[in-house]
Amino acid sequence: MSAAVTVLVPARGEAAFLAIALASLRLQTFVEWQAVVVAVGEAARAAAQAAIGDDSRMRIMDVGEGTELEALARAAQDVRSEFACVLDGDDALEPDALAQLHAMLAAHPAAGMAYGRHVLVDAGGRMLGLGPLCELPYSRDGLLLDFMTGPLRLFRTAAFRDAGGYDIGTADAADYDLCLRLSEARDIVHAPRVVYRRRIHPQAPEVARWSEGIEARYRAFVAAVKRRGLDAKYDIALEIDSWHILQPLKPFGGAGKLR
Amino acid sequence: MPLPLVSIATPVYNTARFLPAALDSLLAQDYPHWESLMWDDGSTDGSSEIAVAYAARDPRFRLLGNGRNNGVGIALSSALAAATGDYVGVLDGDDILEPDALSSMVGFMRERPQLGMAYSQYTEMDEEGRPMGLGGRFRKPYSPYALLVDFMVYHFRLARTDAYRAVGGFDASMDVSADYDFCLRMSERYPVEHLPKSLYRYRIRHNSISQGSRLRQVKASFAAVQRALERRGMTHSHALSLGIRARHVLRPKAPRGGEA
Repeated sequence: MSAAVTVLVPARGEAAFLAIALASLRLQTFVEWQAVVVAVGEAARAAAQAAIGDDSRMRIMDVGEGTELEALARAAQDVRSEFACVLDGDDALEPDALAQLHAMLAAHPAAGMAYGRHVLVDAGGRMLGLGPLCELPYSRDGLLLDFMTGPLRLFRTAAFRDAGGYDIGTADAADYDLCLRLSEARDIVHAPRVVYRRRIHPQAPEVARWSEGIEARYRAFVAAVKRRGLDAKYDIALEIDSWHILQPLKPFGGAGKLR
Repeated sequence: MPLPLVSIATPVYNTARFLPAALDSLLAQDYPHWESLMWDDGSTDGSSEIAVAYAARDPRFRLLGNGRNNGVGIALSSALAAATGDYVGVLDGDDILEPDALSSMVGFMRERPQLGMAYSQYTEMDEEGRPMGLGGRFRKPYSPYALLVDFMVYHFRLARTDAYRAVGGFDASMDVSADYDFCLRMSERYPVEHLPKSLYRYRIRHNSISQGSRLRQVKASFAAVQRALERRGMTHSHALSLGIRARHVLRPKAPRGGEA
């Protein structure tokens, strides 16, 4: 029999981060969970084995060949629990994360997904601040403009499946694309509590693949606008502002000479 | 003493709708000592034929290139490699020079022979050429240091040809940031000054750049500054990072038939 919540944990091979991620899962006040670590590659598999130890609530999924998204999509198809969520192997849950989101879905039977606020941390775990979009009010239309629903989301598994699950053709924007599709069929609710620590480091997708992410999210936006029939009334565009930030490494002495 | 010759490079790539106005603005200059170095970058919209017609009409226009699309970096560097003038500048194929652009810039630089380059103000116009007011980039004060974070040396630029060549000219490998990269190198070797006079009309074309091209430009500009920091020995003392904001935009469509 499956636990109430299946937590899918994509792991990329950074053993220290994965150990923190799984430790945060073990500290959950909500205990009816099981975890599936989706480890792509030998390094990730070895890190997962070390981090799981003899914890019977966690197992490693044999993903075979393919991309991380393909493996995650397959793992999601196998979920038998009533609820599912994704804990990135680089990140960590706050102790009441599952409890908060589970309570939100219990209180809103029509909702297909719940999400909370998150904070950003660096590779060393130091707090960088509140996630940039997570305080924006959620609306189905607002989601077209701002991806505020994440990064921790608890799905009703049935709603996840009805929305079509992950589309492996939307790499770099798979979560956004999924949220857009789910928002078109079901309510989404927001728990106004910090439930997640998102780790920003040089290999994190939002750093290493920032431009691919911008383009992929725009494609998902365009597809959603067309699905919703809004393209008859609205012109669509992507506006990009950029700026260079140059900071002295030693601001009060010894910095490079200003000319 | 003869008046100096000004070489103006114009990449010719799919701007047939606007190219005649750009080339006519050269013909309308109150300073006749110029050569136009048009680089045929493989247009498919008849732009090359327009350039050929201008070259047949006035020997100051020269059409160069092999008709293949090589990108703006190669177009600019190749066109200006053929320059015979004392000064070099760039006129984009969809923009316009004010009638006194060359005379004003040449006069400004002759009075300041120490300068490697000067730049003016510009105005913006829409696709139909309607004025949209004074541009904004040049408003930030210039310094070689400030140029690392703001590309304020924009537009119209005129460089002394010997200074242009001494700093290596446009580097074709820098692709869409070839002009920014060049200005950074110029700022490291020669004084640069601003002429506060509007001499260039820059056309705002909403659909001219795809999001892929815009992101390519952002990356290329960042790479140009990273190279500048290495040249200037600043990589150990300064940290450079890129701020980026991408917005999905929904705009109500204009009513059919236009407004009364």
